[in-house]
Amino acid sequence: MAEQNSKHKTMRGKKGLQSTKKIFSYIKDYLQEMLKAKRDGSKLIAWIGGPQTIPVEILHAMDILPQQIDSMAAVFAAKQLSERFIQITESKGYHHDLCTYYKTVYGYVLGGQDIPEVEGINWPEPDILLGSRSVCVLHPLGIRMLQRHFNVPTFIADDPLIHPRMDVHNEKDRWYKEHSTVGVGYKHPIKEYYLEYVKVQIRRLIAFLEDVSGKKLDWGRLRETVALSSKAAELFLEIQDLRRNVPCPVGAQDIMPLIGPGFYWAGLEMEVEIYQRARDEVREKVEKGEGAIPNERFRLFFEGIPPWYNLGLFTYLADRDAVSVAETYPFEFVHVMDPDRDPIDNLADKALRYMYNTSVQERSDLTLNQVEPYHLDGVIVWNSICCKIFTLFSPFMRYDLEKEFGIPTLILDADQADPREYNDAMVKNRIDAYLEMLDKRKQQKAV
Amino acid sequence: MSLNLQTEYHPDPSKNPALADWKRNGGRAIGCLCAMVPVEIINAAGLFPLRLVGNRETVERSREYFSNYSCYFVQSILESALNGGCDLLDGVVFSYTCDCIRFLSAIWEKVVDLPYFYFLNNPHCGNAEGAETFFMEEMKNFVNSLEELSGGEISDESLLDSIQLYNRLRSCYQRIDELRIGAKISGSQAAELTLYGLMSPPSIAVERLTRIISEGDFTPPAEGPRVMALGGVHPDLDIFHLVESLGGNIIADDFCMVGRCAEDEIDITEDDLLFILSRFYLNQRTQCPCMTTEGRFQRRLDYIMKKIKLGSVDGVVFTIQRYCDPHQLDYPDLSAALADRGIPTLLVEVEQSIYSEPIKNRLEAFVEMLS
Repeated sequence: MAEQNSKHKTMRGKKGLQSTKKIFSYIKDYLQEMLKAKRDGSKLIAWIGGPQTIPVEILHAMDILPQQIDSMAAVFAAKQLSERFIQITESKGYHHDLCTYYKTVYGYVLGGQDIPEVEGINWPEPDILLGSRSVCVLHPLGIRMLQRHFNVPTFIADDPLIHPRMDVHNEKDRWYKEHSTVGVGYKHPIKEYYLEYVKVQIRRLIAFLEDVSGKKLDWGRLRETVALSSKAAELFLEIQDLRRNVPCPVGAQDIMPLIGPGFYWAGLEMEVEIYQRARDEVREKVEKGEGAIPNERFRLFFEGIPPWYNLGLFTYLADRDAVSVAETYPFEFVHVMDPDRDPIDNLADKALRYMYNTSVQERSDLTLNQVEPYHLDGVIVWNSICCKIFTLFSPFMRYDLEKEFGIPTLILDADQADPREYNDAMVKNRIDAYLEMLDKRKQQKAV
Repeated sequence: MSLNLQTEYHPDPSKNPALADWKRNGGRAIGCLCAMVPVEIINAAGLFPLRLVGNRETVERSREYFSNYSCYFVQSILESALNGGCDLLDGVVFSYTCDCIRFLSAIWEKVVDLPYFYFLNNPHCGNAEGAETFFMEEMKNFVNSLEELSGGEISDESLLDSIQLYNRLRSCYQRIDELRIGAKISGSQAAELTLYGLMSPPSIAVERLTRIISEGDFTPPAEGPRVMALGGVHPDLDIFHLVESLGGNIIADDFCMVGRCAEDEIDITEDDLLFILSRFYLNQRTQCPCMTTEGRFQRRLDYIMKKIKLGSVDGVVFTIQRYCDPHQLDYPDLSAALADRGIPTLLVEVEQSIYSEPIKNRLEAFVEMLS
């Protein structure tokens, strides 16, 4: 039975894959490794805000343990702890509207570590802080906020987003189908000085890490971690491709936890192992014709960050024959690279070309491009109200979807980590009404 | 004295007499959003660059395309454009200041029908290795784009003239700031003069402001609590007038459309003018809470403390736009730092209007406490 938070009636999700169920045990092991490193000082612990331009492949090649702000907050939320942590941060004057990932983690830092329920996810404090603007402006600003608190060595990479001018959309033959790609990043030419600038930032990062760790980067190891990261990305993207099958073999309940390995462990054998097992399971399900849910009627696309404290919503949807067959959020974390290329070139490419660094139009096109191959019936947006890059994107995408496909978008206000604003009854009512409408559309189409 | 400049400019471009005059004479104009846009280049192309600062009109149509979980500042600009409020502009240049402006630029390109659109990709970490070169390259592309629009070359001479013209304008702003901090003119007068400068063709603004300053026909503010105001963009003088109506005076601020305009002039000692501009914008604008430059927070605090000392400030009011996360993120540590130095602070959250009863009541109590 799903666990419930007494105040807000939120639920955990039910996972279908065996390999996904095991992820939390990997996280526990990783925590132990961090705690040991903190005790004996054998490895540095780095907290990261804004992935991609801070490639964890480099950190693993240097035996530095990465910890992502977003992942920490998501786990706290899934464990129903984020609300308390957010309240601690807000009591220090931080605004209600601010990013709840940062407020969750800062609340943990400012007092949340002392509560007993944190046992098992009691992440040790950072030795260094690393940040970049690769997702949003708030990430590096949040890292600066933590720097003021911890006063530890801090590095911020500056990185340019893909300019709308570079989009082929500015050309006359603009058409999303021909130009966008699913999950493998922005594929159009990027100006050389953009790549050069990001390469400078990555070299700066390496110099910083060498300085604080007192160890030189082993470039042979970096090549290995880049190759492993790329191999894992291929496996993860194969899972995404397999989800095009009808019925869809795996839903968001399993995909969302699978984000973690690409986020923390890109470049480690462990990441490849996890994705390989998951891929094998998904492949087997496709071969057997097994779906993620017993009666697949509605195939949905999910945009935005899910409310981590209530992944049980996916179960609610499953009970109504609706399955999430694709989401944008997981595409953030993996990137296929060329192992024969210079690793810095590879990582600069990964940093620049991933979807949250593209122009808004390109990101919208990525969604449009999934409508047909994934046989989408509808699109649901988790409108993470504290997050500018999602809340500001959703009306844009809704406009495009309606215009190009006539597909209606359901926008649900549900913060990623703060259950206080979440209204379970209203969200479920709106889901019910939306599915009813999709059902009618299907019936009309059938006639 | 009343400067009455409000009859000569307006935050909404369609109601801005300075813009209407310019257009009547066949000129072209470009809206700028926000302070990171190098206006010197636009002016050198023979175009009139004017800052977009939003307005207080009710937002309705923009809700169709834009989230209400964003600051009113950007929502009001989109609303104005959708209602024809930007029709006198030939285009708009967006810098990558914050994510609200980034997303505004994206939807703008799609639904606002103006001949020219540009997105200037500025670095956020001003002192990161490579940032100045990168921004210079971006400016080169910007120059090319403006040359295409204007149909003429932006020569080194015209760019140098433009930088020098804006230096004269900066010098006017500095003088206005000195008069204000010396309590020779009120906060609202200083803001009026500065906003006029941002929304008027620079050569006209320099001439007019120089004359006003040299005539010196100002009415000193009434004796009363001296307030410093911090925060984001205000489209008008409301906050200044409100504090004055309560018996106080905003003797200093760090608004990017008023106090921070009184910045250092651009040092033209190197040959490459675009590199000079790149360095200037990345270094001068580091107080903006959107910047991630090392030492930025301390620099902002130092600036505030300097003004507090110079103006014998009694208390600080934070006026923060709702959903403006860079300012919201600075607030707790900044207010704590001010409290540590014994300076009283007040936070007011701003959306459409500053004249709501709760804001007025809180400001009234604060000004009374400082009396």
